[in-house]
Amino acid sequence: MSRWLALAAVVALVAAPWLMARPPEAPPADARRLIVLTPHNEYVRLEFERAFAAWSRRELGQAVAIDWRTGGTSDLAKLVDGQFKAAAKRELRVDLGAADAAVAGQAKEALAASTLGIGADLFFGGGSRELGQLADKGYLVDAGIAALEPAWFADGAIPARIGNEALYDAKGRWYGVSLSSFGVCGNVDRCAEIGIATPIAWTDLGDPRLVGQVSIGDPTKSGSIAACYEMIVHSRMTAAGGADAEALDAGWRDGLTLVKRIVANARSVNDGAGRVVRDVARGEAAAGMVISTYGRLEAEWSARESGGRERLVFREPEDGTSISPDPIGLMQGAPNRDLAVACIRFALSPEWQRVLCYRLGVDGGPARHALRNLPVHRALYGAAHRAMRSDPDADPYALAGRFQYRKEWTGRHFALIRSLIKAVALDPRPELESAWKAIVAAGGPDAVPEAMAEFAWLPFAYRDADEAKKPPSDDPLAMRVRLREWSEEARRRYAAAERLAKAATR
Amino acid sequence: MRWAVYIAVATFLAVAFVAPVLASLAAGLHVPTLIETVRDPLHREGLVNALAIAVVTTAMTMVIAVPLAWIGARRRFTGMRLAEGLLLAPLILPPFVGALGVAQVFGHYGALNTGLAHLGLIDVAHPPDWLGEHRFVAVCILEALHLYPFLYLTVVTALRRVDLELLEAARALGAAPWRVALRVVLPLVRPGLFAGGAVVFVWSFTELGTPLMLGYERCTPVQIFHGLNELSSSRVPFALVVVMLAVAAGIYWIGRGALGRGALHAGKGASRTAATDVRGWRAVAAWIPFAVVIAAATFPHAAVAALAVAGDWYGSVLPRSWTTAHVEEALAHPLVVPGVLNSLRYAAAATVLGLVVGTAVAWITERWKPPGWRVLDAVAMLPLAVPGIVLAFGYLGLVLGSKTLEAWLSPVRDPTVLLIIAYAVRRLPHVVRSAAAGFQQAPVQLEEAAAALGAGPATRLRRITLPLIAGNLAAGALLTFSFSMLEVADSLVLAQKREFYPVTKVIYELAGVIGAGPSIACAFAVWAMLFLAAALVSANAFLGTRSGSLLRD
Repeated sequence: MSRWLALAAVVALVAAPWLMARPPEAPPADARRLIVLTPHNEYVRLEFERAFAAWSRRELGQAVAIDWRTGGTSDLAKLVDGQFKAAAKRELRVDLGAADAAVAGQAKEALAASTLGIGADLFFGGGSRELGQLADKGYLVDAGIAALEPAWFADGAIPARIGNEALYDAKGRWYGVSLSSFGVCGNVDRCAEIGIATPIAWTDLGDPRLVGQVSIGDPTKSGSIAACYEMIVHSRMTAAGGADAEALDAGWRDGLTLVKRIVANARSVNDGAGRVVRDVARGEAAAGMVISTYGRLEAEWSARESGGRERLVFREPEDGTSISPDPIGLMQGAPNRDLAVACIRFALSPEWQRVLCYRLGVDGGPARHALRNLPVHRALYGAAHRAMRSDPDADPYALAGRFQYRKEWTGRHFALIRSLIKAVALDPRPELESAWKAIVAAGGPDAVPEAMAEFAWLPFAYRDADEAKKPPSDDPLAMRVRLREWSEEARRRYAAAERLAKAATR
Repeated sequence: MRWAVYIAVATFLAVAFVAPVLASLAAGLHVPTLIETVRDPLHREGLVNALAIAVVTTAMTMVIAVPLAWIGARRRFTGMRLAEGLLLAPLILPPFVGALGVAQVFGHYGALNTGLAHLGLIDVAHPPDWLGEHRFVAVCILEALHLYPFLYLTVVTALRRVDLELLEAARALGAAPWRVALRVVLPLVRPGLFAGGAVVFVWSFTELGTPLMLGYERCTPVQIFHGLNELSSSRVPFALVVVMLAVAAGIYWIGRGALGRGALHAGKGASRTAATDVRGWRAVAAWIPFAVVIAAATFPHAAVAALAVAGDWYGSVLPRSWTTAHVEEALAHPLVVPGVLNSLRYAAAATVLGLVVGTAVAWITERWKPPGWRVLDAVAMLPLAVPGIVLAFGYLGLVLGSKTLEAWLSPVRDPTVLLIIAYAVRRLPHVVRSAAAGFQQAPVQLEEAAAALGAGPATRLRRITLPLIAGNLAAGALLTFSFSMLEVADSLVLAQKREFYPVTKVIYELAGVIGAGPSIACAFAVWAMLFLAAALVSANAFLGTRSGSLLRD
């Protein structure tokens, strides 16, 4: 008898999802499928798929479905790079990764002249830096949207730049769809327990009272977290004046020391931006750094859970944040090129731009989830749309005016900043944390300047950054050895800082 | 005929395991990279920490499982089947989901701190950071509570095969109980102890999910995982895999030499007469250790179940409200129905494939021992030491490197075949060890007698050997099916198309949803737990009438 009961339980459990499933939204069998690589969260994917299917039925008379391939931006970019290199070697007999620039250049030309692809149509989301790199490698190609919809690319609609950041590629290989800023978030209850206000600036995350209370991410895994670190360094370079090489050196040193203080304050290092903000929302950490979209969505959810009481606060830092586009790009050799181009047109259309920022339930807004994104179309920040928007006070174009992002300061060293932070802060984190705790116990940075000097050690000055990026030799391991040496020296310096701080305490 | 089996099995292992691993490791066997990898103090520390996790976790599982197995083999009491069934509860929960529930309870504003604060036992302003400050201990405890069933299953099976007459003879000759345990029982159960201990040791040495979820970064599996992002620019992650494989294989062989060889035959096979019925307070005393372990082991399950139906759960011992919204949201999600069907297909096929190959390997290494059998045995066990993600990348590398293979097996188009092979290969060691323990303990004299009476190899296998080792095979199948349903690493890498997502990838996707994501993921995980529990109980009930229970040999 019991065996039949157990079997009945199995049948009932298997049946449950079928019985509870919503009416099928599956596309018809003859629907064309687009293959899209994306780091976008599920809410964006679901809303986009629904809206694009409706648009293409209406505008193209064609049923479509999207086959999403998801992952972090860095991982997807590496996947694309690896697959193109392998495919080019196999099909075209050329080496896209050749160390010889001339050979690699010829390989790139051969790729551009071919129809070779990796089976994907679009790369949707991520940062303009990552997509720019993919475009420069020849993996993204001109979608020609500017020629198809010239009215959209006027200053009042999608301007060429926001601050110093391009909103679309001049060669049409990627187009910004939405805008992101980067900021700080704080848990109201945790901050009250510690006796501090919720953070409003990057410098707040380095507060000695936050030892063991900050949630951070690994910049080598998350593009948005890497952008946060870049903003921190950039903000201190701005604060230092940036007028000359001395000031830039001082700002760079100050910025990376702030990064070290934040890392030393960390409770945990997460591999994704979503986990950082979740840690703060649940009170595991008092503060953290996060991309604006995640910060706003998690704040909204936690407030709803707690009956409207604000539990998580997200702020764009007073000491600076840049606004950067979340782009979409057409893949080289896209198997459904015409449909992919149509998809980019839809992503830039006022119809999708409204879904990005409108509240749930508003006509023209999202169907199931408020996305709380910032659209790239400037008109949507006007008074006519204010009542419909989830974040009526958010205006990235105004914010961009308050902060002058200088790409030439930190943007061109984006990859170096990631590696440097990993080598001198994340890898030696236990030693860094011990040194910082000893410095705080000794009365803070001002009380033990010698210990602080060891703590602030960097392997090179800003003016030598270009040199530091160059591998010391052709040996592929050379850069790795250099990073390990930096890391080992950092550990020694932090041990010395701890000794000095403890000696001062005694 | 037997040479055909040998060639088929060896070919399968070469194609399905050795080739992808070699593809994955080719870059790692680069001397300068290996030297640089070992020179890095972070990597050395990671290796030491991974070994420490393995040693402590294995010791913990011994402490948990061996006394229970002794009671389970020597006593019969009311509710024993239930107790043994519940002991296997860790097998039905993906570890990374368990971490979601544990984090909720042990969090800063979690149930434990809130409860302790209400009782005035902790400083409200500075409550303990349980998971932040004691990560190593937390990793070991969670892994031990997840892995002890392996040891319990193999040791209890071995103990039940110990002939009671041997123990009585030893006692009659004046041996003290400890001496009987050390000199008689231990040598007899060594194969089972080694089989379970090896699985636990190597598993915890290579375990990725638990340290990753708990933020314990300086251990080799996590360093390899983090290095996977650098594959296009660095060989170091591959070199780390080589180091890890070498250490795991070395430890396995040392352990095999110390515990796994020279096993004595346990006697006449399954010996239920060895267990004595206990009632009254003795039965209660027998239940208590089971109850304690079950309570600890099912704690993550309970936390996951509570999170699945919790409304706001922040700064309170229990959720402030309850809701079915997460369950509805999870089960109605468009990924769920295909995910359930996919996992059933993949896990069932992987179980059949694993059973066929694993039994053949065990038979070759235990009964035949042709030239090269040691290599075959070692290769069949190596999947334990290879992190799933490395194997998965090996498959990707192989398939994408060949136009023909890509046309047939591209996971971008349909990962079914690769996932079935990956699941089967990953769990092959469980089947091999289970079957090998069965072959070691099944008296070979019975097969010899059958042969002397004219029975051919096939008849001997069908009529003598398989019935004797059916319990072991069922245990191997159970583990293969369970862990295929819960397989994470291969699923995350190889299931790239949503229509082919298995259950674990669906749970992972749901957990990533901003806001209610963890609750929705827990809701679907509860479904997965209930389904797996019902399936296992059902299988146990049906198999029990024919070939003996899965839990009792």
